[in-house]
Amino acid sequence: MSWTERTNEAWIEALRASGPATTHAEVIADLRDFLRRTLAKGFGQELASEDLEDVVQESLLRLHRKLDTFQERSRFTTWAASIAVNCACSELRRRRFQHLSIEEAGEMVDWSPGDGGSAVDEEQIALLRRGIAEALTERQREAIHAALGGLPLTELARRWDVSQGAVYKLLHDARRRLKGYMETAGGTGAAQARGCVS
Amino acid sequence: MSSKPKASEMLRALLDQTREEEIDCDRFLELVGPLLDECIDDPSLREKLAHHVRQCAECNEELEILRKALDR
Repeated sequence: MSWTERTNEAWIEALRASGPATTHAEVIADLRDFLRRTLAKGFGQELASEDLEDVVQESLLRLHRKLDTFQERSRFTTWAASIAVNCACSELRRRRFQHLSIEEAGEMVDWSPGDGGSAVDEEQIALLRRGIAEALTERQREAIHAALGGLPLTELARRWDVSQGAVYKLLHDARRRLKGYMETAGGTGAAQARGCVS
Repeated sequence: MSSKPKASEMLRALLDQTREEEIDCDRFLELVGPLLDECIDDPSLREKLAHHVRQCAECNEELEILRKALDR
């Protein structure tokens, strides 16, 4: 049976090793082949052949660990591909940003106005920066500066040993607070940014 | 000339689209399989997932790679 013909139930049963050992080995080989082809097609030259094998192996381990969480809301192969792509992206981002600290990323934020920036733009930038300083927690400030400096959420998550979703929630809460600050303090904040005293 | 977007432009775009409730990356990664297999019937949930990829560059990148890899 090829991987295209196998049902979700057949994949799960075989991977749980509840069936014959030969079936389990065959399914692992098929899954490895599927992941290798899928990642090669998705990433192309971005994933070198030796790295491809490492990512396939790591993906297989993650799949085994997550097998009980598969709810059969999609094809098993689509679920497996999503885990493998996440695994590969995380590894590529880790390598690309390994020499960039969270602090350095924050220092790389470009707060200059865009081309043809007006006085209004400069006021808005000052207000945004004031909002970040006044309305956010220290952790939120660190995360938003690192993200604006180009550090991926996956890298923040890895370094803080939390999930990507936890970093997203932290930044979402920071955006909500900052948006509220901009909406409520917009008028007076702009005046303060210009140095006006009431 | 640098092509890197200015922080204020990025942040204002993100704030404009910020909602009270948003799907986070963990939930998105749980649902990306059903999304690609067109198994999500709820249009409101599909819209929330679309909103998430507009807000999250990493999930957007992973979705595009998956589409390419799986011919979706």
